[in-house]
Amino acid sequence: MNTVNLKENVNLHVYKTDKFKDVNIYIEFLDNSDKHDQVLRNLLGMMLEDSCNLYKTKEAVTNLFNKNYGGSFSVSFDVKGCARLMEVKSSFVNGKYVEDDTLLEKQFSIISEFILNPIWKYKEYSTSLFNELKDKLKQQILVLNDRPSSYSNNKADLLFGEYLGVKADLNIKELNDITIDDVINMYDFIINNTRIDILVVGDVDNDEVLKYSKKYFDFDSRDVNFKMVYKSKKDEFIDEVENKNINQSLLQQRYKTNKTVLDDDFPSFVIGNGILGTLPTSLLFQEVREKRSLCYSISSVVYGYDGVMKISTGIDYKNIKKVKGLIEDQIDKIKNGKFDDSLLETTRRMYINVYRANSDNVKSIMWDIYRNTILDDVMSIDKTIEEFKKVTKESVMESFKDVELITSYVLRQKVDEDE
Amino acid sequence: MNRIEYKQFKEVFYEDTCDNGLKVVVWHKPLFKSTSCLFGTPFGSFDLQQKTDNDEYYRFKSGIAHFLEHKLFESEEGDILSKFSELGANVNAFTSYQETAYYFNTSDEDIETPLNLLMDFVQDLSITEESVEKEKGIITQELMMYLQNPDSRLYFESFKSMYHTNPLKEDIGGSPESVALITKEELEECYNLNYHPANMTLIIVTPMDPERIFKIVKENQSKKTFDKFNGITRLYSKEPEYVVEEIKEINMDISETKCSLGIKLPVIKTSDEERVKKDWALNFSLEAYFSSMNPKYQNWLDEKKITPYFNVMEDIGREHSFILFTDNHENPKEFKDFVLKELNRFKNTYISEKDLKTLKNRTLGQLLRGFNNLESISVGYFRDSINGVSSFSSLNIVQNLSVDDCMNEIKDLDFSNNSLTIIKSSSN
Repeated sequence: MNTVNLKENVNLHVYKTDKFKDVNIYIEFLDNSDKHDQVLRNLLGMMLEDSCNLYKTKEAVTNLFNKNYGGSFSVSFDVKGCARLMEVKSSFVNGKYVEDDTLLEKQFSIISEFILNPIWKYKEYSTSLFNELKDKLKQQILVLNDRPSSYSNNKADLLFGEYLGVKADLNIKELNDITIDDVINMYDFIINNTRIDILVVGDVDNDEVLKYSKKYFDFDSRDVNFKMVYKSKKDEFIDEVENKNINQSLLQQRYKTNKTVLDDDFPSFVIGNGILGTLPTSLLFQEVREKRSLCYSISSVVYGYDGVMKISTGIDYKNIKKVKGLIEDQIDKIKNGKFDDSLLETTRRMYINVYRANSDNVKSIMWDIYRNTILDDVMSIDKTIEEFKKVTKESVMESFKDVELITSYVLRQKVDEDE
Repeated sequence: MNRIEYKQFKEVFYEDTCDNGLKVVVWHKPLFKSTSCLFGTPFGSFDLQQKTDNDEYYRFKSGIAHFLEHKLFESEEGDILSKFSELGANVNAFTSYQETAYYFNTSDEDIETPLNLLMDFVQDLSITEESVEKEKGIITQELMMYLQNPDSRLYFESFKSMYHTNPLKEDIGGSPESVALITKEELEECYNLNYHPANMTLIIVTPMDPERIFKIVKENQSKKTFDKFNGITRLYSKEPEYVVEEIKEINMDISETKCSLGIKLPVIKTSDEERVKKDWALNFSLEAYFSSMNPKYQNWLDEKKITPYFNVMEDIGREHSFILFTDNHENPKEFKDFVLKELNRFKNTYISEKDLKTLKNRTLGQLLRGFNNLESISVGYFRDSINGVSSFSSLNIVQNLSVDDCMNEIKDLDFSNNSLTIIKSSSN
C-alpha cells in the first residue's frame, strides 16, 4: 500500500491489486462532533448525491452513470465510535475491461464535480428540490421505523445514548425545521474542518492516481484533532417495553464492556463474543435456538470503538423472561470460563479465517486501510491474527469481567386477550 | 474436463460430470484467498406438484423445500453448522422459487474437509419425528419475522392477489399452517425425488488447482451409491389470465401507506433464449420510461404522482409473466390511475438508441462487477443453469438487442389484468 500526505490532515492511500474488475475510490471526512444532527447530515448526503452544478437533473445524473458502465457514486454519513464520517464511495469498472483508458480520470472528475461543485455554490438552491429531498428523507426514516427490527435497534441505541444515540437519532420534527442554509453550513464545515483520507483500491498506476488526486481534490491543509475510539461510561440501567401491533417481539440488550480496540486484550474480547453469540457454535445460538427453538436468529455484536456490546433476537413475548435469563446465563459462562476448550479453538479458527478473507472484499480492504490509518496500525489484519493465536480461556474470562447490562428494550407484539 | 475461458473478462472455469451424473464446475480465481462452494438442486418453492419420467405424480405442501433445507443441517453425527465452524468455514443455505442451495466459504488452507462435508451432509438426510416437530417452532419464528416486514409483506400479498394457482402466490417458506402439517415422510419423499446427484450441480470458486478439486469431488462421489434417477419435472395447474383480486387492503402497524399495482401478463411458451431476450427488452423499456432516465420523472415527483420510493420490476418466467409497480403513495387509487395512464403512453414510446446504449453499458458493468464476489459467481452460475441461459449468452443477447426488439415487446401488451394491493396503517 502506498500512502502520500497531500496536505496537512489530507492523505491519499493507494492499494494496488488486479483482483477486482473495478476501481473503488472512497473519501472519508472525519469529525468528532457529538451534536445530534444526523438528520441534517443525511439530508446533506442526499443533496450531494442528487445533482451538482455540471449534472443538474436526475436525468443527467442517471445517464452519466449508466453511460459509464453503471459506475456508482454515493454519499452517506456513519458514526463509528466517536468518529462522525461523511463517506463518499464510488466504483467504476476498470477501463482495461471495456477498452476505455479515460475511465479512471472520469471517475475522479465526476466525484470532484459532485463533492466540490454542488449547485448551491453557483446559484440559489431550488426550494422545491430541497423539499422533495426532505420528503424523501422523511419517508426513509418512516420506512426504517416501520420495520420492527430497525426500529427496535435504533430505539435501544437512543435509550443507551452516547454516540450510539447520536447515530440513531433520526428526528422527523427536527428535519422539518432544517433550512437550506443549515445544510450549506454543515457542508462548509465538513469540507473545511475534517480530517480527509482518499482511498483507492484497484489495478491502478500510483503516479496516475496521485496526479488525479492533486488535480481534482485540491483540499486545503487543516489543523484538526481527531479520534475514533471512546469507552462508554453509561451506568444508569434502563428497562423499557413498548407495544406495537406486530406478531413477534424484538428484544434488544445493550452492554457496557469496558473494552475497546485500543485495549491489549481486545482480541480476547472478540473471541469471547464469538463464543457467546456470533457463530452457529455459539452459546446463544445453541441454547436459545437449537436446544429450545425459542427464536430463528440471535446474535451478539461488539462495538469496539464504543466499548459496547449489543444482543438482539426476535421471540414470542411469552418467552421473554426465559430468553433474558438464558442470555445472562451465557454471559456468566464466558465470565466464569464455563465453556469447552474446543469451542475456543473453533471460534479462534473461524475468526482467523474471516480476517484472512477480508483481503477478498473491497469494503473490508478499505475499512482496514482507513481504520489503521486513524488508529496507528493498532488492528491490522496480520497483527490481529497473531493476537488471536495468543488468546486463552483465562484471557477471555478477564476481558469479559466488566460486561454489564445497561439497556434492555423490548418491542412487544400484540398480546392475545387471554394472555 | 471442459475448459471455458472468457478472455475479455479474464475469467476461466472448468466443467465436468461425475459418473453418477453430478455436474461439477470449478471457477478458477487464483488471486483470491477464499474459496466458495455451492451445492444446489433445482428444487424450490415452485415445486408443489411434480412428476417423474415414470409418470408418478406428487403434490407437496407449501414451504416444504425450505423446511427440507432446515432439516438437512442435521446429521446422526451432530449439528452440521457446528462442524463447519470447527473447520473455520461459514456455511449457509437458501431456498428460492426455483432452487435450494447449500454453500460455504472459507479462507482456510484445508478445502478438502469442508468440501467433503458439504457433499456428505447434502447427500444424507437423517431426520426423526421429534426433530421435524422441533424445527416447526424455529421456522414459524422465521416466517413471522418476514411477515412483519412491510416491504416483504407487500410483495407477498401482491403475488397472492394476482395468482390463483401459480406457486408465486405462496410464501417461499409456506405459512405457519402449511408448515405445521409437513411430516417426516413427506420430507423424505421430496428429498429422494430431488436430491439425486444427476439433478444437482456443485460449483467451487477457488484459487486452488482445479484438477485437485475435481479429484476430491470424484473420489467422494465414487464411494456413494444412488438409485437410478427417474427424472423429475415441475408441474403447474392451469392459471387463469385474470387476477384473483382487483383490489386488496391489508392493515399493519405502520406509518406510511404502501401500495403495488401488479400487471399480470400472459405466459408465452418459447425457447429460453427468446424468453431471456423478451425479458431484457421489457426490462430496458420500463427502465427508460419509468425511471429518472425519463425527463418526465422529475415532473411526476413534483406533481406528487409518485414518491422517491416509486419502483418497477418485471419478470418473464417460463410459467409467469408480470410487471409490478410499488410505491409509498398516500392515495393508492390515484397511483393506479397514474400508472395505467402512463403505461398506455409507454406502449407507444420507442426507447431511444442513446438510452438503449447506456443501458447496455450498465449491464456490461454489472456483469463485470459480479466477478468480484465469489458467492455471486457460484449463485449466478447456478441460477443461469436453471434459467437455461448463461450470463455470457445473456450479455450477448443484450448487446444485440435493438430498438425494434424493445418496441415489439411492449406494443401489444395488455395491462387490463391488474391488481392493486394496499398496506395501510392500522390506525387510519
